[in-house]
Amino acid sequence: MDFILIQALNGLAGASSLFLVAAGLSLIFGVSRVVNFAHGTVFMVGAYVAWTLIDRLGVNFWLAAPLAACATALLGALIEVGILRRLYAGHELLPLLATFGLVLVAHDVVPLVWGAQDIIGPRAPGLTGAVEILGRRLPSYDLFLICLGPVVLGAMWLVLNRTRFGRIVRAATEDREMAAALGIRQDLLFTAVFMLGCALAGLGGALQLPRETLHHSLDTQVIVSAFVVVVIGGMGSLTGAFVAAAIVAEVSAFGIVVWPQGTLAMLFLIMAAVLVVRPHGLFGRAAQQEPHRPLALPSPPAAGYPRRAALAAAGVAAALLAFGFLGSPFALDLATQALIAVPFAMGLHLLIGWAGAISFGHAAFLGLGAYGAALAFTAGLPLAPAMTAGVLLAGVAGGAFGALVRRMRGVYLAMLTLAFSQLLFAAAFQWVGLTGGDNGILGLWPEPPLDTPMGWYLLTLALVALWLAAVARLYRAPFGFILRAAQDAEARARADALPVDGARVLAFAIAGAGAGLSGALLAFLKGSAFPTLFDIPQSIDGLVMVLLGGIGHPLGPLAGAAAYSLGVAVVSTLTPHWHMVVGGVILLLACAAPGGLLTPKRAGGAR
Amino acid sequence: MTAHLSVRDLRKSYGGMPVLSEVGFDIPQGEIAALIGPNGAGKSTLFSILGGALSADGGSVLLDGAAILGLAPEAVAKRGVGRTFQTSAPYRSLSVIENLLTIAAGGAGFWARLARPLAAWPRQPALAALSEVGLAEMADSPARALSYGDAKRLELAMALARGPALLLMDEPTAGMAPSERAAFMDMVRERSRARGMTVLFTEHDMATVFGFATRILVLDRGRLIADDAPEAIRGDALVRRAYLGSAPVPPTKPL
Ligand SMILES: Nc1ncnc2c1ncn2[C@@H]1O[C@H](COP(=O)(O)OP(=O)(O)OP(=O)(O)O)[C@@H](O)[C@H]1O
Ligand SMILES: [Mg+2]
Repeated sequence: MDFILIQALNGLAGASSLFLVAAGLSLIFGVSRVVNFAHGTVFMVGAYVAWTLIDRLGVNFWLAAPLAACATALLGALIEVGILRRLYAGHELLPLLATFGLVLVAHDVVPLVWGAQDIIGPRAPGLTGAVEILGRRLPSYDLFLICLGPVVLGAMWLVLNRTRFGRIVRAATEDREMAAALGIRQDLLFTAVFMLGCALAGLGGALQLPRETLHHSLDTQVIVSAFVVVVIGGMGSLTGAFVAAAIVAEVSAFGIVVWPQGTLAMLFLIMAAVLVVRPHGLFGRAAQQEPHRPLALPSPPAAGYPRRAALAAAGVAAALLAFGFLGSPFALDLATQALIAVPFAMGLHLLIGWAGAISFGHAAFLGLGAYGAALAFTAGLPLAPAMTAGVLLAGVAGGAFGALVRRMRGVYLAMLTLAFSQLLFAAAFQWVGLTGGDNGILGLWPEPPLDTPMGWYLLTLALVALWLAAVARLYRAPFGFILRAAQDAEARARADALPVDGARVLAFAIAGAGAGLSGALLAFLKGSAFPTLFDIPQSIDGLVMVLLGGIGHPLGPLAGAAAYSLGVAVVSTLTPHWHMVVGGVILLLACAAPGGLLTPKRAGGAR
Repeated sequence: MTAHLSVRDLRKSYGGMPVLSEVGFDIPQGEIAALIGPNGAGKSTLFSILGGALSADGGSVLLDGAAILGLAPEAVAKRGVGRTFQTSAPYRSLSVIENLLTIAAGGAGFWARLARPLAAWPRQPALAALSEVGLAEMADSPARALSYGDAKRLELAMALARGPALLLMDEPTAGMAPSERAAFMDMVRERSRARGMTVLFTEHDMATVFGFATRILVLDRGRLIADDAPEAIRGDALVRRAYLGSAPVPPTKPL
């Protein structure tokens, strides 16, 4: 009993800094509809800055924490004014892409500045002791944190409800058009809110110092939990963030004890359950008349896409071919991997660009394709049926998932896809009997003549070309037009009896099958399948490829997949700091060519 | 003759606030009826419920004697109901003719929808429909480039594309010049006469209402306060107080 109580209090202490991060994320999203992927990074920077102040400059902890918050607020201003402001008029995913670029840059810069070793945080002066509760000791700092959460919630409630700034923020959260019509300086408001959100995250990071070891990969851990909190609580709701932070922290606190490896999966399961019952989170409300941000789709495609796009795509294809025949094993492997990424990116592109469904978890289908093919192959099936099994498994799973979420949109759908992929990730880890767990499935070597790199390259080339041709045809068929019509005017499309839901489900199935094809090809290229195929970085790679290539053009993913795969491979041989370079390039592209590589600039972000 | 559209005891409230209370009326086949009422009376809400986009709290809606309340918008459309919206919304990223071709292709079989390029769909019927609303010349321009009035005309062509037996139009001529309004409503009336199509429309412009409606329903704060011929509505004291009092009532235009 007392153990349960202590563990519960422990969880609540963790909830406070989680609440700070999530509240900032939620606030920013509520006002500017920006999903700040770098929010975990800001949290981490806040912690590092506080540590520097304390450890190097001898500043008192209680002064260092607010100073760190100020520093991250400034960092926020820099990000908002320098980068995000250029992107608001474009596709809603652009800020996400740009902030992901920031995460990549920070991934290399933070260890360069603060070192790669773990840092044990300083203790909080005055609260180094512990209090005795039911015969067990609870650090008094934890008690302080437990009290801090409600205090911050109360303070923010006062700011939001009793100040002019707060009224403006709430007005903008509830009805952006109205706020704009009232003559509120939107640019100032967005900057201020972004700074506030970053200050909260920095404060959360600094306050977590005495409790947690500081290391340079804290950012991803924090951002994933914060996303889960915000989605469970409801985007834009502070109370929701508070309650959800408590839930998440408690589940983590007890999960660590009961089932350590399954904690994350459990959190995602809770999130999925909440979203199915309440699609806008526990305390969220349906956004009023989301202003529609039209995609930069070229129009009309029947009259032909811009010639230079086709030329660019042809150039990419030629480069991939040439790479394969350069005779260098490295180039051959590179070309094969770049080709394999194409169907994966194409499926994601179909979902994002055409079906209007943002997915953060497309890796789910990559993994299903790989594991489906691998399991069928190890069960004794020949290569072709085994690969077909993988593709079918991923396609059917995609269709089933699509049928479940066909009415969902936006960030909530994105989080549900993330949850789905994380559940499969956990399953691949835990279901050792079937998947081999951590060890993966090994020994996936095809028969001659496909057992050579060149053999597999040629097979990949053929299959990917077939897939590309088939899917490109779909874009010109009514199927593609129905998806676009539904994005332009969904109520109109339904009143015209267009089979909107059916087309969306089919889009998920096709996207799943494409990712499955990539997964199956990848498994036999590597000779193995590992749980990491289901993991978040794979999904993010796909997103970056799609956005790099441009969402407005069916051949965008071809260019994006090739550019990203080759770029990462080349840069990573040149410098160990390739994350930084790739992140920088992503930032640059997001700002300079928001429509992606294959969309003419004038169409990018056009209204 | 039984009524083409028959609404009984329809109720809807938003968070306890009644928006429609016990609304009931019958519209015979081929009639052109106007639904009028002040802003916020519940006209668009009623249309959304009839079209299946919104669920009602209670009541019934019969189309040719068959219940359609609770059906999805797609199913309602398939029963022969066409709609235009208060904020007109053609498919902006498509070309004008693609707007119509997509609707035509949407009804095709599964494999045809997947395999046959839209560009290979017959253009002739779509072009004919466009020239009916005077947009044939714009067939290949992007829909997003249309002027306000042209977008409304395209939306009319889209609503008519599936040959509806009942046409619902929410403020079809709002924002148009007076001459444009009459021409637009003439197109609708012609179509209604040729095919026996029933029309129900909302409108704030009284010249349009009294010029084209053969029957007027008046909605005020969710209640139907009058349902009669235009002449009778003009003299109705209740209607005057609720609505018409603010705007001068024009004389009925000779048909
Ligand atoms: N989603 C909603 N949530 C809450 N109230 C709503 C909602 N939609 C409409 N209302 C309210 O229902 C009432 C009727 O609205 P409706 O749009 O049907 O009026 P209307 O007669 O079409 O008005 P107008 O002539 O301005 O178009 C209004 O008071 C409106 O504020
Ligand atoms: Mg209305």
